[in-house]
Amino acid sequence: MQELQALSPYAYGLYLLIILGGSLAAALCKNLIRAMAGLITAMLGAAGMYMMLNAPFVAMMQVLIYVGAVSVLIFFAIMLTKTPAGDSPELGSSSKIAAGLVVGVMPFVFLVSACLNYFKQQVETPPDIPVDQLGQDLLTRYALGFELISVVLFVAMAGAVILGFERRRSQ
Amino acid sequence: MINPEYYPLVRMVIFLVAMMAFVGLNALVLVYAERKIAGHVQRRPGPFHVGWHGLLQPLADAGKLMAKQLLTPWSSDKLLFWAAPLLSFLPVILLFLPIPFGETLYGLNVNLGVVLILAFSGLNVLALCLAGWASNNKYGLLGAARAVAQSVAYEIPLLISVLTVALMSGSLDLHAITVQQGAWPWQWYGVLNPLAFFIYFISILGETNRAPFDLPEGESELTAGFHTEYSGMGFGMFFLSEYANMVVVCCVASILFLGGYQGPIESGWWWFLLKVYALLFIIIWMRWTFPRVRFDQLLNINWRWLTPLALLNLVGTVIVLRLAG
Amino acid sequence: MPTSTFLLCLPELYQMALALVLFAVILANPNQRANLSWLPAAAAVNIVLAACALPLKGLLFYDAYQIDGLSQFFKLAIAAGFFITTLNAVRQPTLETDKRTDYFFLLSVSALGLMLLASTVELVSIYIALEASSYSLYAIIALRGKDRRAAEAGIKYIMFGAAATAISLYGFSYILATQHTSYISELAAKSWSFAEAPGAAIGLMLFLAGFFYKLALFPFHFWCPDVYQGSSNETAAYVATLPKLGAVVVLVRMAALLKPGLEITTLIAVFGALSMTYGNFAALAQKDLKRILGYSSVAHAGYVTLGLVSGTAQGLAASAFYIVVYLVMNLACFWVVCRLSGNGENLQLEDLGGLFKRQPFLAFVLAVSAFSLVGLPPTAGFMGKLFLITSAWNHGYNWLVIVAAVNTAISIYYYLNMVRHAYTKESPEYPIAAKPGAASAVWGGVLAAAVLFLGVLPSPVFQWALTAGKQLLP
Repeated sequence: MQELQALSPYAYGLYLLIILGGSLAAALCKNLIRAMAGLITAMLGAAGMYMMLNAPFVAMMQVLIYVGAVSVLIFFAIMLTKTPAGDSPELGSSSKIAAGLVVGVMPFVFLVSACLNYFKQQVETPPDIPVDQLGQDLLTRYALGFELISVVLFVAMAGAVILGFERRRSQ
Repeated sequence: MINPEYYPLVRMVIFLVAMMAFVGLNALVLVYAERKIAGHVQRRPGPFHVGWHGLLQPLADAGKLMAKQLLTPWSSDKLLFWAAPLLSFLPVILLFLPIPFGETLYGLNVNLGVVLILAFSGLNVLALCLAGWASNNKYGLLGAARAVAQSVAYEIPLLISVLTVALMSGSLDLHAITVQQGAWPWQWYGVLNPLAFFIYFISILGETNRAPFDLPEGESELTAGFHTEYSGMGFGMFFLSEYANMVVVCCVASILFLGGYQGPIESGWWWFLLKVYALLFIIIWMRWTFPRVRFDQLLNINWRWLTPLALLNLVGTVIVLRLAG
Repeated sequence: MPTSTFLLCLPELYQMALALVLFAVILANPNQRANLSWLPAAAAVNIVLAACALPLKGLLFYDAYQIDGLSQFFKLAIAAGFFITTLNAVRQPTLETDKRTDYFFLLSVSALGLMLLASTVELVSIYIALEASSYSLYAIIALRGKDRRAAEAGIKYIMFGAAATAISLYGFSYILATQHTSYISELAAKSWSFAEAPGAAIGLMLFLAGFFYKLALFPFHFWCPDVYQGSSNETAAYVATLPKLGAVVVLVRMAALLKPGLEITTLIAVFGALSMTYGNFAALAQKDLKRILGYSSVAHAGYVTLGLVSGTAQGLAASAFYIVVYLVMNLACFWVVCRLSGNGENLQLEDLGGLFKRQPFLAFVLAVSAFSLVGLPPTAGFMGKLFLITSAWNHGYNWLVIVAAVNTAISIYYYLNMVRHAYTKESPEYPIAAKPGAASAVWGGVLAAAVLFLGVLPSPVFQWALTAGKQLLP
């Protein structure tokens, strides 16, 4: 598979472009649904990145959960929410936008340069972890976190119901 | 000569092309079958005039669809409007890749075949959402909303019943799951765990929006739901992907529950196709037998019956497997 | 030994059982008319359990969950804080009756998450335990009748919280990429200097950001006054106190990895100094009592860093002790605020006018807590600051100690301003309705007594903190 590996930088670049394009669309589109389409694109790109890391199971889960389920729920939420009437509020003065840009770009530049400077270039293929190994780890070393996630989900659901649910007024 | 290292890639490409042909051809067969069965269920002959017993009718339909003008509604979101049918159709072809049609007849030998199919079949509902929303049509939007609620709901028992089989076989590889089951029906997982098969079968009706769960399309109340505004091949794409999706879920059903390409006397792709088409026949038969359910009934069937039943079945399977060692 | 394992985490199990009972009550009373007066008593039982569990030690869940001096110390503090907040919130004027049980259910899950946070020693579990406590807060902050300010506060808390979490997780990925483990015990053996492990150092800093957010330390402080102001008085009392315990326990555990002079340590010290200064100066200009307390907690977050950067067991113990003192004195202060605001409205400084004549006892409790917040003897705040300053002196951050001392002087103004309003000003023309009963005076008195007790006789509690600190940094 040596020859196929030579393709991997191009695949990496492709996924990177997909992620970047998707997230830019998600951030900049005024139309919510289009922004969501951008988000989905970025998530698909992230799934591709997992493939590059030789973690196909995680990649598939990314598609299954984020693309197939979470984004669909976001879509549902957008459809059920009333769009506010009238114009959207102004973004603020240009100085505020400039300040926001500076604040947003600075960590980006800082982290990118940190990544480029301080992380070893890894060229060998990461080991292929079978799914049963993942399961074993989730139920031993990471059992506590794995179990606690259910508490978090439970609370998140309960909280959402409490905030969003209007009890039917019994006459 | 091609470098042998590229064989998997070449195999994949050839397989993809073959699958496109299969999907197209299959749609023609299914449309004919559907209309004929519908006709006979309702005591009429169905298509009869184009060709012998209407055999050429699907071809004529396809010609009509392709020749039709592509209309883009004036107030729609043009980009998403046309992205939706593509998004609906393209992943479906991908779904065929890990399916072993025969001992050596597969596109991609991947040990996560089940997960791959489950993951990418989820894209279809997204396409429906985008289609419904981008049309800027209230019927379209209602259809999309129904599609979301329905598919999110039915995905859960579907996943759990698939998980049950994965648990029984200890693998997510479709090929391995097939081989583990024997040639004879009493060795099949569908017979060993009929409840999982039953839940899976009901759930795929919900997932593929087939009657009696075809509310996203509901002709009588929503004109056609999410694809109301689509004409010509825009509609054609949705149509193709719907039938292709049906074939995929039936393929998975035949692998997980009916032993795949294995069969008595002589295993091979004929057994596989026989099982798939038998399942497809049942699905079509159900469509013309059962009336469409109401939306609250649809959700109640899932949340109150199928999901708890699937969970109980999973727990029961775990216990039985544990006791059996 | 399954029975001993069971006993090791009894306070958490009890808290979880409490949450489940509340959930059952919700399910059993669809119209939510349940009687909840038993709840503070049930919460008080957990104080006893946590006190009994103080000397326990053990490792559970494949070494991801550690029962040690630090965790038990904080669990006791959390149990006590939860008891006071339930007592405080049982008669909440702005809480709709049909959401009452839901509110306490979420509150108890949040406290449960904090208890778990005190014991987890594995980064993924730490993160998830933090989320368990935060998610319930996201929901309850917005529960203040139909108040728009509460909705705004809730949204701010969620949005900023999500951003802080994202930063935290991103940092976690750096740590995992460079150090290849998520267990603190294994991380302790690694180097955290920028020269040797730059990726890990950046990662740890980003990871800590999530906890700085909960603690409202300087660059992550901006939600604090807005959320206090927007949420109901009783909710603010909880948000201002208990989550900070959770943040500090994790920071103390992580600070045990660090030594003075490391880049991360210096950065924490800088954040601490900025946090004190900014918090105190911003508080000078506030009129709303809860905003004052909000900025005050930003300043106190800065004080806590004094102990974290010293790199000694005394320092860690001082931080742990100080945050407990902070819990008690802030609860006392919020107790007065909640009792005075009969209809659940926000209090302004002017509303305190003439409090001495109307409610002499509450005025006294307010005075004690304000003195303690400043750090005047003989209150707990003084002892807390003393421990912090002595532990940090001569460990490379003397400038931070000086900044803290100067800041204490600045803060005198606005804390004593509250006391001045209560004791010397005339009542406003329409004094806010307040009819605190005998019980509320008793509990206010208990809190004030606790503040004074920790100031006069701090050694029993501080010794526990010191033992805990020595277990981390022998």
